[in-house]
Amino acid sequence: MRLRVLTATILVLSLVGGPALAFADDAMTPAALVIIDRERDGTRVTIEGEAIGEDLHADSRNRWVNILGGGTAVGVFMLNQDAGIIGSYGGYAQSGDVLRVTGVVNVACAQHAGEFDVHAEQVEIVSRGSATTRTPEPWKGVVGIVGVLVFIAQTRWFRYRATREA
Amino acid sequence: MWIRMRVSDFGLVLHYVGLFVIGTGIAMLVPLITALLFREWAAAFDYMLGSGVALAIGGGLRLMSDGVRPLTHGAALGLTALGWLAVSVVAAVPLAFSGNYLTFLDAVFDAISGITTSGLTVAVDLDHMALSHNMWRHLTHLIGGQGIIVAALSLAIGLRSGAFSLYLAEGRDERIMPNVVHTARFIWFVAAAYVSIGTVALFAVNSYLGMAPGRGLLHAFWISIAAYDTGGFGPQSQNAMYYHSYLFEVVGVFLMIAGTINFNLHAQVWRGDRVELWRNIEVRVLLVNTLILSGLAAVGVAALKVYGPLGAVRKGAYHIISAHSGTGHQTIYSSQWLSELGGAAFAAVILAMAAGGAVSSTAGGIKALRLGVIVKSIIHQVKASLLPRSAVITTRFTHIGEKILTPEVASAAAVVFILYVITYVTGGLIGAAYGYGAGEAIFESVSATANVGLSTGITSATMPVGLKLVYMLQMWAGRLEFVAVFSLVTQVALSVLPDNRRRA
Repeated sequence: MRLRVLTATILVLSLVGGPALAFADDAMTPAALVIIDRERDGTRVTIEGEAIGEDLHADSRNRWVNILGGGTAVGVFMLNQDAGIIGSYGGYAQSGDVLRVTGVVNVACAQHAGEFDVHAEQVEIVSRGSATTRTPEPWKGVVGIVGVLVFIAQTRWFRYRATREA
Repeated sequence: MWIRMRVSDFGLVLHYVGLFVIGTGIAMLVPLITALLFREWAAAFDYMLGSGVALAIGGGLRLMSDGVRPLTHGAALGLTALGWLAVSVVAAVPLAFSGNYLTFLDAVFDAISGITTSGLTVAVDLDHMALSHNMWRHLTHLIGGQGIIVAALSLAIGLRSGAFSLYLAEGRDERIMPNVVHTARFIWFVAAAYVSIGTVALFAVNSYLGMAPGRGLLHAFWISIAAYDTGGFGPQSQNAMYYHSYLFEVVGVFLMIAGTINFNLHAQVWRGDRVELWRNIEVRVLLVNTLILSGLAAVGVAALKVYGPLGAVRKGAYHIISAHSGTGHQTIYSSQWLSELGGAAFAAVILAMAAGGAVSSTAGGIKALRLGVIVKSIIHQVKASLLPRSAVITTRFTHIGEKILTPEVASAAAVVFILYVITYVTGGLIGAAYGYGAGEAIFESVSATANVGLSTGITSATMPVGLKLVYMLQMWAGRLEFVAVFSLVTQVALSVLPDNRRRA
């Protein structure tokens, strides 16, 4: 009987609590990272987010990569070779590669004069970025041209009126 | 006795507002060209629409009058207030179609913030915004930083009469050249010089960081505008944090300081009068304030022991200068204000924002000249109380030559000081009433009114609509130093109320 209860409990926990437990171990977003408990400063964290903009020179061995998630981006200090695996950075025309970074979070990094950053130890690509389709809407152009034509007519009328009154 | 505007005066005001709106439509050609160059076709259509709508609306308003009659002083004030509002609403049209704003009101919020060089933003997904939209956001700083009226005067478009009244109505206290049009052109010349220097320097920094030439140049141009015009927008959601660079921050601080100095003082120094630089009351107030508040910030930061000495100086001094100049570039997250910088530094930043920069500069806030005059007035009063009644005391201060402190100068400074303080507190109380912490609410209110742009995180797309409207009003009134806005409101109210004199 006890064994059945125990088995049932484990089964229920694995079904109900499983995803929650898995989420707790899972990567956090940069938005969640910047408000973490300050006691976790200097500890290892895993974050997941989109690489944006471009990688920036940090020093001869390292690059800065900014990772966006939850509406907030955070700077990740990583080795040149880790940055080298990133194929796409997010911008207007494309989404960036989604990265999973494990590293040490520094609320006020001593090495980087107080920056809030993550020093990467492991960088993985979760998914590759792709081109973003933004469909042009020609009706806006038509409205714009009509507006310009109206403006030309108004200007002619203004000048005609001024000449007539003079 | 209140002087009512005639119907024909309203027509004249709308005529000039139309000219400003037309100018805004023409300025949209810059982001349109940017969109075409970078193949942002969808955004290009946004600017075709925005420009066409602006031209048609502006052209219609222009027909309200022939524009040949002189503007009265009251009409000039009303025109200034209405003109800034109209330009902001029209500037919001292409932004509203960008996909980076949840509502049209949000686009207007950012346009007002840009035009008033505040820098608070409610844009979403800024990191995926089109380059052309970012170009437009930063151009609003450039237009508003020097002033819409100054832009119109420098181009000498239509503002034939009442030019000096218009110039004063925009929150400028003095002319630099004998001719107000030449003054306006000089202001643009100074801006062009500093933005060019900043763009070259930041382009070099961005190239060193490894940015592609096109993006590096655009970012350099935008940040130079935002720093010199003490605006505070940035092309990325991390603002100045995106670049992770000391050099970037050093160039930014240089531009912020240049932007917060009086245009008249720039002229004096360029004419070779170096003595004025050291004796000028505004420079002294700015210097003393910055030192005191940086010290206070350093104490606050050191007390928490989060930052090392270098980090404390970097974060403390950068944000005091960013706040004092009214720029609002930020290198910490909103959540870090209290947790990492501490209460003393938080208070120091609020005081720096409230104080503001120099008069006749691109900065906002109470302004250093007024603070200096108020301090001198207090000293004057203390002296007077200690001396016999028959004694005549003359208090002088240096501001583009030696000036005598008169009761009129002192009371004018005190009135504007009081108006700012009332607005700071009122906005803070409204923010607190919406459920935000009192400290954060005061911080955000001061940031909006003084056109700074630093944020504790209250300003966002998801903030209450009522609070958005309050901050928009604060940014608009604060930029015009209240008088023009009060004048517009009074004139509209008088035109609605019955005229008792006629009845009598």
